[in-house]
Amino acid sequence: MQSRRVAEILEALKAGKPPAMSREELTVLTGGDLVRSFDRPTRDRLASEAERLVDLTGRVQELSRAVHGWSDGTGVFLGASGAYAGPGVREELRSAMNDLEELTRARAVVESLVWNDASESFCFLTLEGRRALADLRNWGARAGDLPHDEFRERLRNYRASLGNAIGRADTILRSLHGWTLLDAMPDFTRADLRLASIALTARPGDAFQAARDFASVFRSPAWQGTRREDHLVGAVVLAGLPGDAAAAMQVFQQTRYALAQRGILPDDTMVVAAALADLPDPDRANAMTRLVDLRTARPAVSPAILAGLARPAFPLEEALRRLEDTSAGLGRLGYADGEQAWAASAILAASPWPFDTALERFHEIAGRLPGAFYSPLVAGALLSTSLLEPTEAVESLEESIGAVTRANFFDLTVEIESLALILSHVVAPLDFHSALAGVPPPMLAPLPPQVVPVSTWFVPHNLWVYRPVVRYIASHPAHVHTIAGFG
Amino acid sequence: MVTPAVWVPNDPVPLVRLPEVPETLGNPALRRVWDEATAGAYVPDLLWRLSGRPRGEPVDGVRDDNRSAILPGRRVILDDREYVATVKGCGAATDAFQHAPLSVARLRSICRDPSLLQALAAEDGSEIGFITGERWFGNVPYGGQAPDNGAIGLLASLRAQGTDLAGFRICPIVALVRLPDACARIASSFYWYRRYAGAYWQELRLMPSNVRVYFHSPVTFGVDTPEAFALFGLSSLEACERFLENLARSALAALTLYARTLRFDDRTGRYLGLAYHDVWLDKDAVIAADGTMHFVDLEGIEDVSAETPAEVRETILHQFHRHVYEASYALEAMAAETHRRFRVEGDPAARRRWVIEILERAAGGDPCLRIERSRGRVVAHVAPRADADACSVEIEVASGEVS
Repeated sequence: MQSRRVAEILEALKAGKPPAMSREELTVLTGGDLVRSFDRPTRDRLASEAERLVDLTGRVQELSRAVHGWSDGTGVFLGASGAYAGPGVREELRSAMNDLEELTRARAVVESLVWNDASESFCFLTLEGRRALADLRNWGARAGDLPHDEFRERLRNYRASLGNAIGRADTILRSLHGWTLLDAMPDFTRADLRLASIALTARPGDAFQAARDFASVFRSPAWQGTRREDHLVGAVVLAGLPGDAAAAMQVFQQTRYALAQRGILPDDTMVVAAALADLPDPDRANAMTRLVDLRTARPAVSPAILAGLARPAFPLEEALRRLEDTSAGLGRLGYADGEQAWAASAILAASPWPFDTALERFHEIAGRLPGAFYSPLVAGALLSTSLLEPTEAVESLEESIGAVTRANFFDLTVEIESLALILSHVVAPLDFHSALAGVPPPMLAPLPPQVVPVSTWFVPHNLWVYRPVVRYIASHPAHVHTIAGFG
Repeated sequence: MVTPAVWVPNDPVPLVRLPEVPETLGNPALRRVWDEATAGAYVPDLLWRLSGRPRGEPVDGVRDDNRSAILPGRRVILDDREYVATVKGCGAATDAFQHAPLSVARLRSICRDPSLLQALAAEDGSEIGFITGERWFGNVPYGGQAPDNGAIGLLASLRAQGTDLAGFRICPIVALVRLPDACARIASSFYWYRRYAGAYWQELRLMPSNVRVYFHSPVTFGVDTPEAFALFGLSSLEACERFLENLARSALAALTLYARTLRFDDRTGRYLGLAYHDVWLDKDAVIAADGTMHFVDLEGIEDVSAETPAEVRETILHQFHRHVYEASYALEAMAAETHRRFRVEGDPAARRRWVIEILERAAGGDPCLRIERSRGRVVAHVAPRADADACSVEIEVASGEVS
């Protein structure tokens, strides 16, 4: 049965309208526990059961009053409750409460029943059916022609992938704790290591190896004198690259030196070098040259913001024009000027989408983001760069938020969205790469999401999404390291 | 199945239990809690030392609110729910006038007894908390408890059966104790401006958790909802729905406290019922691991009188409307987090419908409350404990189409 048809039927049931489904369709949907159906006698029996609800509620109230020592009619307060209930009242109340629950459920079912002519039965949407409908609303545009079973299977796999990614991150995190990294570096927090762990899940291969490489890079004496935030960015990006971490570290230091030679201030060389770390040598040299040119054209914009555009995706003039147009477009849409707006503009300008499409996508996504991001502009821009439709991109973030919270992969609530944003980059939602009708194709050949280099999204994420969280945590030390205490 | 007590680990509070106290006012219904291992006063370690080290034993507390400490080793089961003992009035953690710990250095600056200054000079300056003699919020010693405030809470506890006051759940007081004179004398030597002149008491109460609704705990239900979920171990949609139903049931009881405790006093010819005085559900109630909201600060609930049924109805309405936002916030936070985790009922309108359905179900067995849909609205019919015919009211719970 096609997903589109399933959506039509479920939508009708949800709205209380006749679903007009055949017997075969009903068999499929009841088999999948999306719909339940009752013949007329069963429905009548349920309805008659539900009618007992009023009387039963009255009885429960009476019993409850007896148990609580309600006024005996004289208006005199009887004191502590319970002592005035006769023998067996508590037991009867408990039993009546159970019946009440059953009848309430029966009434809810009766109220939601919809008659279906073809099967001559009453139908209603199950909880699983409501979930399936929500999925079809979110992803159905891409899945219309897919058999619904296959669609559900893909969603199951997607959700399992999110869970697996968190499991992998947890393995990395446990390894890092095992090496007592925080004892050696007390400036860092568990939140820092959790962020690193979830970012490192993007690296293919063994989780323990990823953890070992990160620990090795993180403890390198080469970071001495650098700011802790930059230290974290550099270590995650370098450990996230495939290949020899020590060699990557050496290239990284050379890049920093070369950037300094080109007039980039020492405070900026760390994040810029990290943003370019995945590029092969000639491309990186080219990017550094482009960065100098971009800075000459836009001296007020920081190198950290321009680093993404320095990557040789578009010709320089076009890159600059896209930056200007995007920045002006954001202004027209009412987004405030400032560093974060420039950062969002640069991310959008470097995205594979035509400039006006990128803006539209961003506008839609930014309007739907949960309020938890300190910089919704940058978070929205990062989500906009995906190849998903805006509603799908937000949905993938929400799925990631759900996965992080379900797994309790956080200490503080403020961490969740930040971690989920990374997860939504790491785990590709579903297996759909086809463009939707009416949406212009991306200008650049897209890379499969799994191989998008960590440096391209981790650096802006760290600068404008995660660092405000760190500042919050630093100013609320009592909340950090909170662990449940059960009695 | 017993619902375990849950608390958020916080700063340790080194206390000393003094089994010999000059006066105790106990709650007979909870006599078994006041056993040999628990009975007595709990004073900060420093106060004990300054008082001449009377006979006592060290107890490790965990900081709860500013002047309270949880005693994780003292737990009791009531009605299938575990409660942990908490001492209120065992020393304030923060300075009364600055956002800073009440350290030994600060104590030196408010010490009015030169002989104690010498003793304090030998202290290491750690942040410990202390009972002071500063007169605070009416007539309460800052960091301690006043007898009249404690007595109000004890009276409310005496009206309950365990934790159940006509369906309204409370954190009952087990006993009030007066601190030994030596300790009171020392405490009264420390104050900033005004010296407290009364006796120094403290209360031992039972709490199912220290997760408050919105303020005053390291993790609160409204602000840190995902962390609260982790604390409570909520791992399935069904568990969340049960939790939400308990939360709704107990919140509805809290909103109708006056009605459910209403009585007619023949002596004065007036109606009496419990009302909240300067206390709120967002900071003075905690959530148990099964979702049941328990009111903690019982010193803030007292009888108010009404002369006529019209006044009674007005008081019921006032109480409901004064607190319904806080209760709704908790329900909404719970429902939103449930959706976030388990991906059901995507849009906010559907979520609100779900909350209303839960409220209807939760009110099902309530002795004084019935929730119904009527002309596109959802209304609560409140029938008070006394004189229901004349004093019943109808309160709008949700406006507009909700089905």
